[in-house]
Amino acid sequence: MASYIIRRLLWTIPTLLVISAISFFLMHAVPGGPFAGPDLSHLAPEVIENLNKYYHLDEPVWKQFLDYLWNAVRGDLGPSYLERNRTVNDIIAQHLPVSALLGLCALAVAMAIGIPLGIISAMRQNRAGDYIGMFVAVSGVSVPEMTLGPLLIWIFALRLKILPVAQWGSWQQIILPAFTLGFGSAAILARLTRASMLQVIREDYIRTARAKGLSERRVTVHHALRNALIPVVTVIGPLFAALMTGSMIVEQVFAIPGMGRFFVWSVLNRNYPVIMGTVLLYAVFLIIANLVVDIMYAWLDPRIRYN
Amino acid sequence: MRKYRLVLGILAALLLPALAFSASVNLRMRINPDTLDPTLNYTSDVNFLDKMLFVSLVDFDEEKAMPTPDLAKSWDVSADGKVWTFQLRKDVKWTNGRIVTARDVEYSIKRILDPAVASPLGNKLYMVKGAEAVNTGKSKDMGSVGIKVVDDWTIQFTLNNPLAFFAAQVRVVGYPVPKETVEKYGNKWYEPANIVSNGPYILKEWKPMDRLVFAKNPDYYDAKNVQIDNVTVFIVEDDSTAMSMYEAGQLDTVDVPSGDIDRVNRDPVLSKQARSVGQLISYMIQVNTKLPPMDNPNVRKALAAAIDKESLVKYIAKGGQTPMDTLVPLGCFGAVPKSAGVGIHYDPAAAKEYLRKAGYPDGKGLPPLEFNFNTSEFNRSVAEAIQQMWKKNLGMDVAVKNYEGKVYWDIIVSGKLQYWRMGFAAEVPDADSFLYAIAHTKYGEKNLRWERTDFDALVEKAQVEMNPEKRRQMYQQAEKILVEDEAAIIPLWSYAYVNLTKPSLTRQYSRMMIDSIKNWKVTK
Repeated sequence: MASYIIRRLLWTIPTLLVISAISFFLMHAVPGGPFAGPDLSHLAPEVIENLNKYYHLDEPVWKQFLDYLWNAVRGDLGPSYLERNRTVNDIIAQHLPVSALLGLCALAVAMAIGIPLGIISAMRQNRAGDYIGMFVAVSGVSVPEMTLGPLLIWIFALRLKILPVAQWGSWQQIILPAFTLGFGSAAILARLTRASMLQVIREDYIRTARAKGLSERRVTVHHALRNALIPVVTVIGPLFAALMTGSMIVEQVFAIPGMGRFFVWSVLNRNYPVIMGTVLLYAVFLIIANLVVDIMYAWLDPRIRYN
Repeated sequence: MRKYRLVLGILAALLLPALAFSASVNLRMRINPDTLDPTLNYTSDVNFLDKMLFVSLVDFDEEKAMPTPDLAKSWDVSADGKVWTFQLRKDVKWTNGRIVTARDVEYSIKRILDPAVASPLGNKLYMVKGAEAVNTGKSKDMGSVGIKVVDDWTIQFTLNNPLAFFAAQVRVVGYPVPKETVEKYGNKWYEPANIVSNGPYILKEWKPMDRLVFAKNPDYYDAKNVQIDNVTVFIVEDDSTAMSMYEAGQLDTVDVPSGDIDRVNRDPVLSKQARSVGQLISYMIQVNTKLPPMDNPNVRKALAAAIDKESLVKYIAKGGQTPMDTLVPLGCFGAVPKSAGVGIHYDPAAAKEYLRKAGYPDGKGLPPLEFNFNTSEFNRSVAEAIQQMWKKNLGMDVAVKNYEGKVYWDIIVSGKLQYWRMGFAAEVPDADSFLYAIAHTKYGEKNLRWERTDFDALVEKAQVEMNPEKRRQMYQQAEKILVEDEAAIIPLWSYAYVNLTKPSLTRQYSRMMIDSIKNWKVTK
């Protein structure tokens, strides 16, 4: 097992290298640059030339890439083209925790809603409870965040006036964005839990437990759930990574200073170092999340072993 | 006696909170400021922040469309129009206690011109002697730049040519910055922990992408006229979210997204808080006069005459924009008054006639036409509306296609487009900023690819002419050539947007995106 983990970790290095190369060259291949564009106050060519020199954008792309890698392995992810007072490291340090917290809360929402919904649906299969549960699940994946977010703002902040409209800082301000972000994942977890439960409650040992005269509640919670949750638990890792890295729309709607919004901005503004830093960061998260999943899977199910 | 004191005590306790009313206002901006350094800022959304923190040589009176004294209490210009001398106030203090002097101004100007600093404002000083050579690296001698500290309170600029509106131009580049702070902290000098400023407000807090918090600067030279004590600027990118924040009472003023304008006008409460704010920004169609069939002036005139600008503003743009047949927005010096009748007006019959004269009666025989715009919902709805007008009035089938913002400029410059939508704002409200900058055939943007040496001569002469009346005449003639004789540009309107402001806030509305928060007032 230990050698398996070490091997997987070593594989991340070439993976990240390939990702960074593809991203870097793709970024530079896309037309337009950080200082181009007919904003109402667009820049004079002499100014653009000075700025390109300042950020070494006038050097050949392969040289810029090598310089980037050389700095990156030493922990310096570069400057931000638009903000002179912050480096990419500063930006990540300030904004990533926000996205992480948002992702965590969304995950909590997803689990708190999705798992019980899935269990109830499974236990009441093909009856009213099941249909309601699955209807909620389908709505969750169908309604886009761009619609759900403003709708929730309208209901809870403008009509009922019990929650703030937007922004970040107080616990009340986390509620609506966490729900908006987590609702879709709640739906996914619900369906997964339901399918898994349905499979488990048909197993022999469940029949044995029932035959022994145990209450339905003990059968469900103590015996069935533990095994039914294995596939669900293994999905939590990548789900958290996806929530944390995919929060751009929610961050925009709720004016949350997170990494997702910054990422979109940097792409639109061709802020190359920030784009690269974010891409690499997200890649690392997803790789680690997947590795954690594989380890957890092996730990939970003794029949699985990696050689 | 005791009762007396007791009564006084109770009265004081009741009155003191009222006396201690501290006026606060909550504002919103769309983007995180790239920088608060006024020698580096080129984003118009950030201009009002520079005005809160720093003092420039001059301010701008939008009513009179003239520069007014600020750091400079007076200025004069030599007889040949080339040497401008500014006398400074002696009571403007940095927040570290030092008084602002002419040396601070000199330091900042040279900082803008230093190519190693790569300031986006570099070219805005090219009218100063020696400036362009230093900024483009052709000269390494900073001493060759035409700026001189005559004494602590007097600074002098020497220009290459006379320039009538130099005092207005100086507003943009005339913010001194504190040398000792900039050298000590480098790029981080304007962060709240380090910043030293001299304006009406002090920066208390800056949470990137979240908010900026300001408090009144008690040492500002005109502090007694600054009423608002605390300003919070929330950074909210989404227009609908900002609108909701206003309705929930979290913002005191907000710009209305165009999708909400109808709702606001119907709402009994909101409609009273709304008003249309004009901007000195032009929304226009530019034409590549070298690409067929746009090389035929009658085709261009037909396109211009077929656009019903009043309807566009009323039904599509909805912000109270001013339809324009000439380019320079009214409110800029040298703008042509409507009464002069310059430009091509909406006239479907005339449009058909132009097209017939061009050799394409009823649109027959035209090569494929494509109208372009940069990606936005608003631009798309405008483009599609105009597309319909051309179909209806001229029988033309025009395709519309959008390009992403960062790519748009490059493709325009490449010359591949026939005609396209463009917006233009000048920070000096002068016809020169529009006509010379966009349309001069050699020194302007060159995208019109047209040639009228008489136009060039007019805008060049007007730039150095010191007599205002003569200047106005020249600009009127220049506009006639540009938008009427040649129709190389088809103006549509000057920008406007709808703003909502709470009744407790009394404010002015800048037409150039340079609001002066220090002049606003909050009542309880």
